[in-house]
Amino acid sequence: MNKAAFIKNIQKSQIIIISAVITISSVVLSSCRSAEHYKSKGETTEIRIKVDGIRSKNGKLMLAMYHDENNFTKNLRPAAAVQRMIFGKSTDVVFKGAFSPGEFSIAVFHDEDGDGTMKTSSGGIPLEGFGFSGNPPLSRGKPGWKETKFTVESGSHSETIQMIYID
Amino acid sequence: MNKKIVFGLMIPAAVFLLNCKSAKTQDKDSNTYAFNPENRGELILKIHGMNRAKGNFMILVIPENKSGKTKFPYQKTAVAALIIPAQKKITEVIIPDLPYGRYAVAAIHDTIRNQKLDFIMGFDPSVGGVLIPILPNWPIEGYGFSNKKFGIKSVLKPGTPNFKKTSFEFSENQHTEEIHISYFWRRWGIPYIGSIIAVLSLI
Repeated sequence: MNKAAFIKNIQKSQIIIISAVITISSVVLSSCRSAEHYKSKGETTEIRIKVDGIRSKNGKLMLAMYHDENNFTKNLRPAAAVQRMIFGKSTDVVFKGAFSPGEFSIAVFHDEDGDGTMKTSSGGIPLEGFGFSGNPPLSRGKPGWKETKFTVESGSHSETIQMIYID
Repeated sequence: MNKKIVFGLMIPAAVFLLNCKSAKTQDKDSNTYAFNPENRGELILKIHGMNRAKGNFMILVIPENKSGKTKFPYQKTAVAALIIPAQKKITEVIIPDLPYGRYAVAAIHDTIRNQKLDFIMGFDPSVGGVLIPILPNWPIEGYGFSNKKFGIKSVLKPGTPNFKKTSFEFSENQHTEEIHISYFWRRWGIPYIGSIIAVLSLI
């Protein structure tokens, strides 16, 4: 193969790369303007949750809201989640956002020792406080999606959850 | 295999492991906060973010420590930690039942929803602080702090500002605080890498 032709080919490819890089960077720069001038549009839904009957002020309250049945049963990918300190017998949690209308479900637990996980006995009985939206009866183990779901379409919605302690 | 190469690889590995250990020992933190839990109000955060709704925002609200030394973006000392889906342009976050005091807020725009801030080298620099001069370990996702601090000292060293600079006084029934997310990687990172590739290709 001729050496001079090879070098020429390389230079052509280099010019293409450089031009591509410059165009990409310019597109990116134009797409991200300063965010200060933006004003939000569109409907937002506000879900206000009141957690009642908290035993002590130790540790933190962990709350997760799910928008999907599959994720709720697997405890994966909550639509919104909060981990917060407790200052009284009841606390409020507010989720405000452009949630698509549909069914939601909430699971709470009170992490009293602060290790980040739910303490259970060897038989699987929870030793830390917990609660679900809709406050379902706990006759058959962990309640499912149908017992805990509530529907939110638009505007504001409020929900109260009673904490349960088994000791 | 060459001995020099083996030893050259072992030194950064040892540094990495040592840094990991020091990060773990920080867990022994006494929970002494400066706020008074009797008077409580509602904190509203307005997060100015991306032009489109993508991913989640992860927010930490951290109170002042009594000793005056507060570890700033650290989840165990947080009063509230939230994950909330990002909205177009402005996302509003409401945190009720918060005692009056001094707070700082750190926010991450988690666009891939893997629940952490992603870095270009693949790991968090606070765990293993290894810097390569040409390609520093930049965050790819957007992040921001309260008090309009972006945490960018220079183009080569994006970091976190300290608690004193970012904190604000919270002593009202309803207090609104604005947080601007900076997309450092989109604004500076991609053009920087692009220019380096261009220069290398010219050589």
